[in-house]
Amino acid sequence: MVNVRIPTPLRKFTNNEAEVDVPAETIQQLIDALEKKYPGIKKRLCDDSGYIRKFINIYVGEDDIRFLQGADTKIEGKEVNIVPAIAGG
Amino acid sequence: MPSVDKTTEKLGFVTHLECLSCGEIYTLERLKKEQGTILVNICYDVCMGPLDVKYDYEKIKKILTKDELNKRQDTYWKIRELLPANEIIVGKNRKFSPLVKSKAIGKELGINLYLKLDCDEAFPTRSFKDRPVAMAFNKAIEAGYSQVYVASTGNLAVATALQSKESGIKCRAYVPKSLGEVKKNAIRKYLANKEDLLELDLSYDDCNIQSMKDCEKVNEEEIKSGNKKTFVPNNSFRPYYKEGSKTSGTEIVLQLEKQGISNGDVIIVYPLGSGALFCSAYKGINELKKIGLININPRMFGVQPETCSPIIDAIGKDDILPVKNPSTIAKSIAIGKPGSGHQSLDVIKQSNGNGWKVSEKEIYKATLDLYFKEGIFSQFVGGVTLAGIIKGVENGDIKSGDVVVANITGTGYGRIEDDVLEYGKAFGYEKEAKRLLSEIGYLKN
Repeated sequence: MVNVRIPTPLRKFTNNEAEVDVPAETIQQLIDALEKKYPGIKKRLCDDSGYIRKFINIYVGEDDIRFLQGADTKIEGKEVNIVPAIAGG
Repeated sequence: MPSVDKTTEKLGFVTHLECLSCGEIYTLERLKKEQGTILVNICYDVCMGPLDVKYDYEKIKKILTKDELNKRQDTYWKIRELLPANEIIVGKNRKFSPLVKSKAIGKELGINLYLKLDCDEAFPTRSFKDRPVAMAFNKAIEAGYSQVYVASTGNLAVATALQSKESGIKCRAYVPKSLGEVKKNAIRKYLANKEDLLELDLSYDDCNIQSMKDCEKVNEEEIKSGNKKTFVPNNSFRPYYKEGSKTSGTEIVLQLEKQGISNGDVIIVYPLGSGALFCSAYKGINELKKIGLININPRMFGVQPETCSPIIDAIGKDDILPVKNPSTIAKSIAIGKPGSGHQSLDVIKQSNGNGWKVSEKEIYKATLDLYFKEGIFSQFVGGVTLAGIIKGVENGDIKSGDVVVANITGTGYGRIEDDVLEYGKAFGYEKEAKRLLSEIGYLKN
């Protein structure tokens, strides 16, 4: 099981839970597992073509998956963090 | 969901928030009902994109007339109907930053060059960050927040720390360990408690993520009790925070009018970090046009260091490739994942603008030029702007006689003296660096 931290705006899908556990080995599997358990959440994380939205940051441990293998990044027992990418300025 | 703050569905002339990516509209009533607050930062119901504040321009047009504008003092709140506040609490009498005609560089380049000096002492901490931070604190005080976390490359933390002290709001600052010691001292100077400066072995982008995660965690318990107390100024309610930066653009066009420039193209040049200042300034200018107060046509040009140029590299492309561990002497714009990057690309396109990349040595040399030719000791980010303009003249983007505004967004005083010396040696300008530092009293002869 992978521990995932859910950002506040998406907690309406997880019954206001800040952290949830789902079975997954890669980020793609994690997103599919989240959707199975919490229907509707995938549409917020991915666009119509299934790609992770550009305003979403996903971290495996301390690393941004953009600098790893994107959706194919292996989780390897680390914590996953989903963080909306709106900052700076 | 219980009400988590004191915001209401009524906010000045604001009608709604709109997603800049998918166009989803969030009325203030909807935000209050669905989120318990109007202080929301993302398009939570559709695409997670950034939200933008929209106003009732028809109503504003009737109040903010040319006559009314002329009656008002040149202060931050001069265009108050176009700012998201019910009450003016912060920066009541803060003056415009100066817009001055270049003494020498404009003539050398053959252009009509003006310098917009947010680095001037007219601003409390002498950087443009005093603009959005004033708006963020105005909102925080209205809503009843009592603690702020801020991630920063320097200027934002300084501006936030000072405003916290003045507002009685507790402040904790997250900065990359690599930040210059002089800049760290500037932050410490304004923090109520020096231990609240956290030096992390992380990039700015990751400091940002850390501050947001910590803010969210600390608020979790508060939300359960129906009260949210901690905010991150450039994240928690970023749509409102950014509105403060509109004043950079509106001041420029109003000041140009006073100098007799009220028509035609004006090339406005900003250094780009997250891109938020650039986009907000353009928005402010367009709003003044929309309500019929100005006729100037702004063409927006952005500049980034070659070593950290995610926005400039994406001009003409679909997506922005983030830069991992960005590094440049212009540390205040060492931002690898620009929060307003996509919007900046739209602004460049819509305004018939462009962007330039400049080398580290060009940045350093231009910073020296600003001091020795114009008498302005700027952070290296000012050198980024000027080096970009020089490039624009060389490549023909800027033509002889064009009106050009260079934004000098942060002072060098008390911020980069140590870096001036270190990089002066590295780039072969040690003699000039020592002369500058002696003249400003940093080095004793």
